Amino acid sequence: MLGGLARRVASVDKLKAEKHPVILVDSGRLFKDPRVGEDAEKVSMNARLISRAYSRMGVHAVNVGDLELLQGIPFLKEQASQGLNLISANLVDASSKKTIFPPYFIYNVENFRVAFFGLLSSDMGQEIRKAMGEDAVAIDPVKTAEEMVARLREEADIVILLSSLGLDKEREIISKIPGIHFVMGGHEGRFFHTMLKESETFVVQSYWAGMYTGRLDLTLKNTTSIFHDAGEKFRIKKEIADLDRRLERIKIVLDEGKSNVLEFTYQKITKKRAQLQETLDSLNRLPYTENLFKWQMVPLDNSYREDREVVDWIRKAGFTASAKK
Amino acid sequence: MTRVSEKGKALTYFKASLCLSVLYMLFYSLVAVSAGFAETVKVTIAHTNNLNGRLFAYKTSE
Repeated sequence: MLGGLARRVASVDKLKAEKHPVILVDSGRLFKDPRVGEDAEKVSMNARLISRAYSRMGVHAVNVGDLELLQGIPFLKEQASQGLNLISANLVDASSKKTIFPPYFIYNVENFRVAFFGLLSSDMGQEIRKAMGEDAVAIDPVKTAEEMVARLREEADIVILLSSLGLDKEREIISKIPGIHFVMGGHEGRFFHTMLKESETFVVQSYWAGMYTGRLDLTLKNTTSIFHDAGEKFRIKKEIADLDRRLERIKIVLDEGKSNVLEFTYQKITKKRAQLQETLDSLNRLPYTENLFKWQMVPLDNSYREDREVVDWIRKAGFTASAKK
Repeated sequence: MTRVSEKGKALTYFKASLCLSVLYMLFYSLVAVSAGFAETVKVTIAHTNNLNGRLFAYKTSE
């Protein structure tokens, strides 16, 4: 058993009890897709419940995704007024061209300013356009990203994109616009054991259906430094240890003279080991002043209890586990 | 005589440490901060996406 809204709320309470500050963010597609055949009223009630839980958790920024738009702008504005911190840099009012929700959010921690801005795709189907109404429009995300990054590099030290664009579009943005430290994406709902590095930007998604929480621990030392993966050294050391064990086994066979076939494999592994050692040495030479990050996918398993209040909300709304589909 | 001398020493140490503190603060505010260096700060970002309206736990058998 993985996930569940009540368990997520409890896990956030646990996380907040840790010593250092915690920033809670969501990249979008929070709500159910009403196009899959379920009763529209029930889908709306489900969305209200989730909004309430996310407000209760104090999620700092929720990027508006396409599934949110299917609930309509008035619904989203209502949720925002009740404490759901929606952001979007490219969802604008059709006539004034001003953003409907705040385009970004800046979290101040000691001397560092961490900025999050949100983007969704401007290519959307007829049903989404209809649900949005004529007063709202999603403008070009690439052009918006360019403007946002230029602005946020002035106003913040770390720039993070909360994206509901999908990996291909995110890659396009990264290749055209330098200056984004992390892209925390969504849309496809992929599982990332490690962060994907594109140029100087790290990209990630935290799977789907609320089964995991993507946990990004930042160690900030310098407002101008790029980031390095603190977990990389650990992974390389482990890989070197694995290769050493393989080399040892092959050497025993070679020393006994039983087989010469393994000589080539031995050379190949030795070469790979040397390359890994070189990478490890260069990581060890990094100055102390460089910023570090550590990424991990934390499963929402039975080790977390369920928040009783949220369980009660769900039950009172008439949702039951057996009738969830 | 001895008491005065100890007092004098203490005062000198106090002045020296005060001076060093001021120098450190000046260095930190004028040089280190402007060069982008600051105290190490730890912050955690908890991220989710694609909840897709899921209220209940996902069974691995589903």
